[in-house]
Amino acid sequence: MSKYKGLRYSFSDFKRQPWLHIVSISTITIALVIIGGFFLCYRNFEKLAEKTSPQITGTAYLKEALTTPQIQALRERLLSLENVQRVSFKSKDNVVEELQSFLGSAGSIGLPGSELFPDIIEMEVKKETSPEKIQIIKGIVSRFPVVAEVDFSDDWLSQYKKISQIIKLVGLIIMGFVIVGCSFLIANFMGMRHQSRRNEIEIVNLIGADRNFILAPYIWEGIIEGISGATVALGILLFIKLFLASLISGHWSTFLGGYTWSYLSVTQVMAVYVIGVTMALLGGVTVFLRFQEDTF
Amino acid sequence: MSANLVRLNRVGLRYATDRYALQSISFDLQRGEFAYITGNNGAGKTTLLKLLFAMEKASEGNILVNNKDLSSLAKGKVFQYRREVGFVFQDFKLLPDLTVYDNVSLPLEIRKMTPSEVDYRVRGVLSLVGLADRARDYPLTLSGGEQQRVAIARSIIGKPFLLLADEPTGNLDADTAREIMSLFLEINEMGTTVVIATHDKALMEEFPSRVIELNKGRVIADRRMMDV
Repeated sequence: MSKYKGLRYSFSDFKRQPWLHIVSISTITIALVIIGGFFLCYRNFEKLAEKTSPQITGTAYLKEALTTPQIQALRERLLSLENVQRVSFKSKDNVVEELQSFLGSAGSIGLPGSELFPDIIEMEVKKETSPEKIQIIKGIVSRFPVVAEVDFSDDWLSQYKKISQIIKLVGLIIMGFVIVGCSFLIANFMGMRHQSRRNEIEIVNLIGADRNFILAPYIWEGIIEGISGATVALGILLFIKLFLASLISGHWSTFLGGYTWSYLSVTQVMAVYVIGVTMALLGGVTVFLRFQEDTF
Repeated sequence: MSANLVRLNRVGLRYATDRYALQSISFDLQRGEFAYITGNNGAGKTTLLKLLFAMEKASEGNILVNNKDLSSLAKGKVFQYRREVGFVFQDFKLLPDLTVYDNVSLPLEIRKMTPSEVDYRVRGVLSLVGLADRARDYPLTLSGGEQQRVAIARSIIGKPFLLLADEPTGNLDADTAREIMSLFLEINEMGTTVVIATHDKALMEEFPSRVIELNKGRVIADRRMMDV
């Protein structure tokens, strides 16, 4: 079948059996809203985490009475470590000042003298540094002879990474189940359509139609249904995004630090379309393969 | 080129149940011949046509059509063979959602012919079957005889060398059946070999020709009707 003829036949089937097509498109839409919803959550979780996460810092507590050249040498050694992007020295006086300023009036009453505090060097590491690499940095720095103790507040980072991994894994599992389940459902709907068109297929087969001629309308139907389902799903997701955005600005803006809820990225939108068309085509082709043994 | 268009040599079709639908069938058909396959219900007429149309495969013997051995015809090549052979069904097998014009043009669409060539041939064939003025109508708005004419038009539009018809007058009244038979003769006179499966003796007497009679899957007679 010429491709335009195939397209025309597909459209005529949409007119003939609108409800079956509507059910197929709805199934794809529901599946894509679930998958797109996951995309939406993941994208915003990532952006929120990026926005709210503090810089990863570590503190090296120094031994007493280091000379300026020693401190300078230590700074250089720390900066040469992988993933360390900034180091700053703070003398014990600076530390006390910062503490007093943090505590305000309460600090001026009972705060001990600066002799109780060590000099420190604060290190900033890159945000993408893994917890394992932080442990390596920690180990190296703690072995420096001029360093008394090292402390990285990295617990939150490993927690964040774990949650992120769990979300990714759960998302992939959900996506897998949804795609397989929906393809199965669509295959059944297409099977119903195929049954109703079996007579038609038998006739065109008997007058010399080849596989491509018979398959063409199913391919077109899959593309049309997939694109329609994806478009509707993206519309629903946009509505959900707007609803969540207004909810956040109304109730949780303080808690989320004025975060603006984002829609799907261009890549994610494309992925929704690709998954939609793939599901519809999988359903159609599965049915076609199931019946082709009888037909040819 | 051989004068024989069809040659069946000890052809048999046995089902999985070991029951024979056809057994040891042998006959030849010349190019341009007009022949009836007749017999009672269950004699094997339709099965024989199905074998000639590659809808079934013989389990014994071989069938040569236009020097092509149907027993060695690959599954993926059947559609090409069917483009060279026409088949008219008792129940017409028209697509109800397509107009008469679109039903008749379908075999040419399958062959990817140009629209102008399709149009030229469809109009010619519709004139031949007397339906030029019904081109835009849908099959369900036509009478049984008209639907059978559409089916015949569709089967001959690809200029087949062999036209098979399975009880083509079975659902028609006597007058319409006569018109359809005249049409088959006209097509035969244009050079197409025609094989009609029928049990209508009156029609065979009215349009006498070669008759191959089957009974319980075997050929029991092969004669010309005028000899009877």
